[in-house]
Order: sequence, then structure tokens, then C-alpha cells
Amino acid sequence: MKDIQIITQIQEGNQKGLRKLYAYFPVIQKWLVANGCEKNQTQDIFQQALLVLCEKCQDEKFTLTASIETYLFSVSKFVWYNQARKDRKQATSDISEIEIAASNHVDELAEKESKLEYAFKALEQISARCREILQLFYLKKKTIAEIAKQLKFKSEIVAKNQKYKCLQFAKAKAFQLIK
Amino acid sequence: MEEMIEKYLLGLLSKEDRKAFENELAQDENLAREVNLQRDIMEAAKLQGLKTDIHNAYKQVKLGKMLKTAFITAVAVLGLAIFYVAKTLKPKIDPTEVGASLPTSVFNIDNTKDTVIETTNGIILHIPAYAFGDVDYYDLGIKEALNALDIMESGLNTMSDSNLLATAGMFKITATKDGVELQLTNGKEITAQVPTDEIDPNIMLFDGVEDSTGNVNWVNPKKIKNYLVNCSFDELNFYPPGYLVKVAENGYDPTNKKFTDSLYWSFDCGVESAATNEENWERSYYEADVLNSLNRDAQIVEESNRITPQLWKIKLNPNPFKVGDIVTLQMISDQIDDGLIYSNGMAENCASNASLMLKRHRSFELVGGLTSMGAKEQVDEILGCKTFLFDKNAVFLQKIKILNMNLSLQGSLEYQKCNSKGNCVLFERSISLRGVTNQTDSAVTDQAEQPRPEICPASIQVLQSKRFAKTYIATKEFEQRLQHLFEICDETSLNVYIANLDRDICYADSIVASRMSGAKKEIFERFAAQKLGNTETASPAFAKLADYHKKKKNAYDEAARKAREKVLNKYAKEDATKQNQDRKKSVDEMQDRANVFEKELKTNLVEAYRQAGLSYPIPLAPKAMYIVPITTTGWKNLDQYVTASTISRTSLKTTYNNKDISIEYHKLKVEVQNEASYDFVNVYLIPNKLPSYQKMNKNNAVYTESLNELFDYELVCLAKKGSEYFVYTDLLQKKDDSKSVTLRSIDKKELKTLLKSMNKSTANRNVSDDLEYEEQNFLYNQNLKKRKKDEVFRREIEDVIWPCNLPRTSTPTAAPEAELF
Repeated sequence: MKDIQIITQIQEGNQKGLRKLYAYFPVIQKWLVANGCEKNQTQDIFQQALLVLCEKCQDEKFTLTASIETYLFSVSKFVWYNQARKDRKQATSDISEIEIAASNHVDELAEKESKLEYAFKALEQISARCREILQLFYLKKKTIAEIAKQLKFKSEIVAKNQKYKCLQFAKAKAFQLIK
Repeated sequence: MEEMIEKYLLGLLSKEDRKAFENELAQDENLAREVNLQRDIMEAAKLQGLKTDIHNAYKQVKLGKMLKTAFITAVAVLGLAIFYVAKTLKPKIDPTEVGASLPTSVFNIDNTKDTVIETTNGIILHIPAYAFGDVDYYDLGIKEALNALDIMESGLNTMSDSNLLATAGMFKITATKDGVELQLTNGKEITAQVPTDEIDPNIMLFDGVEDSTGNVNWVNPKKIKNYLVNCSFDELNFYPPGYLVKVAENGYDPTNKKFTDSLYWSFDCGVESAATNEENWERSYYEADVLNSLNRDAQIVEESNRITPQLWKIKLNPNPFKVGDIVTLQMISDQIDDGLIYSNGMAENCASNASLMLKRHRSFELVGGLTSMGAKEQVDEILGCKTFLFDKNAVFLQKIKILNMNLSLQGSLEYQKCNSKGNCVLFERSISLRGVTNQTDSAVTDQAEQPRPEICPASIQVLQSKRFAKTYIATKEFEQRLQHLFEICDETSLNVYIANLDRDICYADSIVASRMSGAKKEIFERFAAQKLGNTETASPAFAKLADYHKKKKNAYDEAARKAREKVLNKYAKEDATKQNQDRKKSVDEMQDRANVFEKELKTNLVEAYRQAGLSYPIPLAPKAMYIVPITTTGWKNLDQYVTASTISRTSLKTTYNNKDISIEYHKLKVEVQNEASYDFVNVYLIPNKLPSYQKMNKNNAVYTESLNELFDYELVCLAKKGSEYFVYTDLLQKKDDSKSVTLRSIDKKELKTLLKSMNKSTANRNVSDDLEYEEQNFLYNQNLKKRKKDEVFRREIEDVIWPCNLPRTSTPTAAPEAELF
């Protein structure tokens, strides 16, 4: 499968694309272990790298200037460097364009995650069903009609109300957390 | 409000509304907070969803791996079903048409150009220029029904006359210009690539004809030509299985193709010719003049004390052996009648260590260092260090791992022999063990003469040249076959593919299958059964590429071998230069030390006699020889005491001639601040009246030496960090017993002038020489570390590149590289 197809699948929320990306894991894992990473941490690092890629894919303007493999490899590298608090300049001798991009993307996501920490906590406090509705709506870009069908609501209006309540509830929790 | 915020955040507001909202936002703090809150919740929900997706995908992958074996069996059963693709080029635009419920993707196409389009389901269409008459632009509509659900929902059937066909997909192409249907120009062909997990050789293409009732009858079955599609070499993995993993394992970037290519291609597979061996053998390990000067010194003393070289028995144990064995190279001297031979493991400056040098060869690798057996320990009195020596038979041992049966051990054992009079000579015994000594099984040795059975990296390098870019070499299908060829180590089979580039790939598949047996035969039989063709651009001219390949392969291999040899020669040269430096340094230092000792002893004696109220009798007692301990059988008590005190560097208090005699030594300790932060640190003492500097010994982070009160000493510390130099100098006071030194940075020029002022013309070596030596030593060691790492890496990679060369504890399972998912 071509890289562009994988990206499209990820953008469409198709799990097949993500599963394909796991094919790159073994080699990246070897590299990580060779560079001092504990084996049981490699999965987490790789998943974080996937998150960086997936998050970037949400942006329609995002284009890859290298193969997915190269990009994922670089991203994993920087996730690991960040975690191990290694000096990147020392660790990477000739830094290429893709590495600069990868390094920035890793930082951006880390920043975003820490900024949103309270929102994550808020989402943890609402029901699983509520979370699913919000994810389907905001991430998977499903319409209220589709959500109603998928989650078997009696009508679209019920679904719409439910979505509204969930969002309000999450906001209220979040508001408490920042106060 | 809620809805407004959401629309705003999702970018769904009109331009005016957006502006109005933003104005409001700027004024209303509560609203701004509300918007931020909602945005964060939205973003968090998205990220959380992605995390869940990633985790779920991982769980599925894990499950998929477990099911892999089960999956392969299932495919074998399903393989009986036939996969048909249907195509119709005679569409009618009619709302009641078959498959009206299917969405149509429409592409606007420039008719004057060749066009390639890819549909959402992955069908790739190659449409030649002017496929539809001479219109400029046209709309190409495509309906796809590639899965069972779409086919059923759309109401398409799978009847061919009265036979029911099994199908996995249909698609329909319609070309229109301003609503008017266009016909495919005669002789023009649209090529369609339909995605499939398995290629079925029975695949056929049917045209669909709709009857008046809206049913489709599939007619006119055509065999589909399985063109292979070229892809760029960048997309293909032409490395042996496990190669990239090994690269990653060693901490290198496996996605850097430039690096991985050049590394792989640097392994040569040719058989070394005898001539090159001789060429290499030319290099000598140290310069002749150093050796000669030693010989001369030793032999000037007394011509009759000529030292004869020892005779050695050199053999491998056990012998015979096989690949993978660790054997011992034994070097045993005959009886040493007069004198002794120094062993190894002694401090660098103490005595000349015996050493073994073997020319690097791919047939073996050293296991551990040179060891000795039965050496006696003896303390060298002058130098105050431990020596190890043999006085009966010298026994040296070196463990060696056999990597291939074409064993070539070329090199020399270097040892120092001294006679009882204290004269010493360095000898070099050459070692040359070739092939398998005492080997009765000649078949094994013959085999080693043959070229490697594995696929030569040079072969692969040639295949990735432009000339092969249009052949079936540059296809995913060949990549798959190559992986198996790597595993069976059969370059001949690879050559079958190269020799038949003008034919369909299945032709080579079946020849290779006939050469094989067992599981590998099955794999290639399965390849052959796919009946795959050639690339669309294949031409009879491709037949000639085999010659080109052969010629180029040899050239590339030769180049790789030469490049490797150059590297090894460079290493050898570096080693030789380093050995020369070490040897010269150790000889010069020993001479300097002997001179210092002689002068210091004389000064002490003169002082002792002066204190005794006597004049010092000349000539002086035994001349100190370096290397072997001197015997201090002086002819007067006073001489004996003074000599003992000078050797041990301890104070002397005695009476002689009824007078008190006292010669004071006092200990000095020097500590260097932040010593660990420098590349290297050296501490010297420069005595005013002695012919050479003394280097202070380091012990537990402290430099120590006993100072003679009869001299004034200058303390000099030198250090280097990167390209920066550091220095400390101080004229020591008699009472100084400990110093804590803080180094200061110094410019290189300034340092040079400073050191020049300290030079003693009486010395063989000065502080500046020692600094130069330490600098080179540091660089050499750094370089050596890298070299060793590189060599270990290369050996690991060799295991992957020459998989059939190594003894295997278990045979690798040759499971076909089935898709993971």
C-alpha cells in the first residue's frame, strides 16, 4: 500500500491504515533498544509517535516530505530523546529537513498534551458513552444522523440533545478543574 | 450560544457572522473563556479518540500475528474460488440503469495527455492520450463495487449466460463530454489495476451487456495479462532478510538508504587472489632503525655475547577443526639455555612486552588477547615494576575463532630475549599458517577455494542501475522472490532471473523451482503457478542485460574488495605507526631514565663522600643498564647504601668514616582539580641538574614521586580538552609535600614557547615530545574505539549477508513472508 493511501485511511479514521503502520515497529524497536531504551518502553514510544503522525494528519494542509517510514522513525527518535532527556544536537549529527519537522511535531504535541491535561481529566470524569459521542462528532466528523444510527438513539433529536449534554457536562468538569 | 461557539470553532460561520462573533469575543471575557474551554474539550476529545484508535490497532495487530498461521491455511482453501473482474465500456446514462445506487466518481480528464487516476477503492487506471476521439476534455465516471455488500445492494448479478460466476468485484467506466457518451477509440486500451490480496492466475475480464430488463449478462471473457508494474528502487527492499534490523539494532538509521546501500555494497565476495596477499604482506610492523639501534647497543658491549634467536614450535590445537570452532594458536619455544625471554602483561614503561600480530583475514577472528603460560614474576629494581619472564620454555597462546576453512594466519610473534649479562635483543618470529595444516580431508579445503554460494552484494548493486529500471527486477514481485533467494544462498538461481529478463517472470520461477527441493521448491512452484508475466515495456533486448550484469558485477566486487583492503591497510598502517611511536618512546624513555639514574646516583655519591669528609673516588661503580636489573654488588659500604637509597628513592641516614651521612628524599603528592574533565592529564617534574624530566606516577587520582633534596624541581602539568590546552607550572619549594593544582587555559603558540624553554638538550625526550605523543595517543585510542565498533558491526552484518557461511544452531524456518494483516 502506498503512503498516501495510508494517510487517507488515517484521515478517514480507517483502522487498516494504522495497522499497516505497525509493520514499521520491529525495526524502530531495534533502534530504540540499541540506543538505550528499555524494551518494555518501546511500545509506548512508538504509540506516541503514531499519535504525532495521526494528529498531524488531522490537519488537511499536512504533507509528508519523506516516506512515512522515515518520518515515523524520526518522530520515534525524538520522542525517545525527549523522554531520555538527551541532548538532541549531540544525538543527531546531520539533521535533515524531515528531522527538524519531526522534532517540532513531537514538541508541539507534547505542549498540546500538557496544555490539555485538565481537559483530559474532565473527559475521564464523564461517561464512556458521552466520550464516544464527542469523539464520533469531533474526530470522526460523523453527522448527528450517523451518530444516532450508530449508537442506536431513538431519534436524531435525542442524539443531538445527548451530545449537547455531554459537552456541557465535560465543560463544567473542566471549569471546576481550572478553578 | 452553544451552537454559535461550536460553529465558530468548526469554522462553519459565514464571513460576516464570524466577524461579529469575534468582535463580541474581544469584549466579553466570559464568552472568551467559554470558547477556550470548549475548544480544549474538543481537542482533547480528538486526541483521546486517536489514542484509543492507536491502541485498538495495536491489539488487532497482536491478534493478527497470532492468527497468521491459521490465516495461511484458510487462503489455501479459498484459493479454489475464482476471482472475476467485470468491466463495461458500453454504458447508458439511464436512471434505471444497473447499479444506479452506487456513487459515481467523476474525473475531468485532458484527452491530449496520458493520464493515471486512482479511485477511492484503489483501482488504478492508465488512460492513453486520445483514448476518446479528438475531444479536448471529457468526464470519466467510475462506479465501483468491489465487495460483496456493494454488489448485492446495487443489484448487480453475476450471471454469464446461464452460469453463475463467483465475483469479488466489478467496476464500470463511462466517458462523457457535455452529457454525450463517448466511445473508446479503436486500438486504444485502458489498463486497469485492481487491488487484490492474492493474485489468481485464472482471473478473467468480462464485458457486461445489459438487457432490456436491466439485467447484466457477462460475456466475452478475456484472459487478463498480468503486467508487472515497475516501481522505483527506493521503494524496494533488495537487502538480505534481517539486514535492516541489524542496522537498526546497532543504532544506525535504517531508513537512510544512502548509508544502508553503501554499507551493504562494501562487502565483497570475490576469492582473494594470491598476489594481493603478498602485496599486503610487504608491510613491516616497525621501522628498521629502531630495531637496529637496539641491536647495536646490545652488541657493542661485547661481541661474544651475541644473542641467538629462539626456535619455536607453532601449531593450532585442536587440528583438524571446523568452521565455528575456537582453536588455540600455540607458540612454544625450545629450551632457553642462556638468559630469559620477557612475557607480556607488564606495565608499558617497564619492559618490552611480547606481542603477536596477525594480518586481518576473514577466515578467523581473535578471541581475547595473547596469553602466556608459566612465566615467572620478578620485580625490576631500577624501574620498580613487575616483570614476567621465562627462563626454561616460553609458551604463548592465542585463541582464534575459525570463520571459514580457507584459514590464513599471517603475522609475527615479537619477543625480547636477554642474556645473563643484561644484553637484550628484540626478535620477530614470522608466522605463516595457510589452509588447513595436517588436514586429511582435502574436500573441505577444496570447497573453500570456490566462490561464496551466497548472493553477492555487487550483484544487487548492478541490479539497481537504470538499465534494470524497466525490467521485472524493479518490481514488488521480484523483491519477494529475491528475499527467498537470499535465504537459500543461491546466486545461480538469481542469475536465472537475470538471464531471462526478456521472458515472463514465471519462466524463471519454474526453472528455479526445478533446481530446488523441499519447502523452497514449493515456494517457487507457487510463484510459477501465479503465471506472472513481464513488465509492459519488456523487450527482447533485455536478454543482453545478463552479460552487462556479469561484467559490472565483477567490477563492482573488485572495487568493493579494493576499498575494503584500503581500509584494512590504513588500519594496519595506523597500528604500525603507533607501534613505532610506542617503541621509540619506550626506548628513549628507558635510556633517559637510566641517564637520570646514573647522574642522580653520582650526585648522591659525591654528596655522601663530601659529608664523610672524603673525596669521591673515580671511576664510578657499575654502569646501570636499562632493561635488566643491575646487581648492586658495590665494593664499598657507602656506595652500596647510596645506591640502594637512590634506587628506592628513600632517605639515607648512616655513619661513615665517623661522620653522619644524610641524603634526604621527601614525598610529593599532586592532585589536579577536575582531572576527569580533560582528555588527558600529565604531570612532570623537571629537576634542574638532571638530564631529563621525570613523569609522575598516578595512583588513585594522586600523582606521587619522591624528590631528592639535592635538586630543585619544577612542577609542570599539561592537559588537553578538545583542541584547547591547559597548563600549570610551579617551582617547587623544598618543603612542598602536597599540591592541589588548578590548570589554566593556554594558547597553543604560547605553550610551545613555554615548553621549548624547558627542553633539555641532554634528553632523548622532552616534555614537548611527550605532549605530542599523548595527543597522538589520545587520537589513536579514540579512533581505535570507533574502528573496533565498526568492525564488530561489520561482523554482525556479515552474519546476515553470508547466512550460509555460519554454523547454525537451528535451521531458519523459511515461512513465506505473508502479509501481516
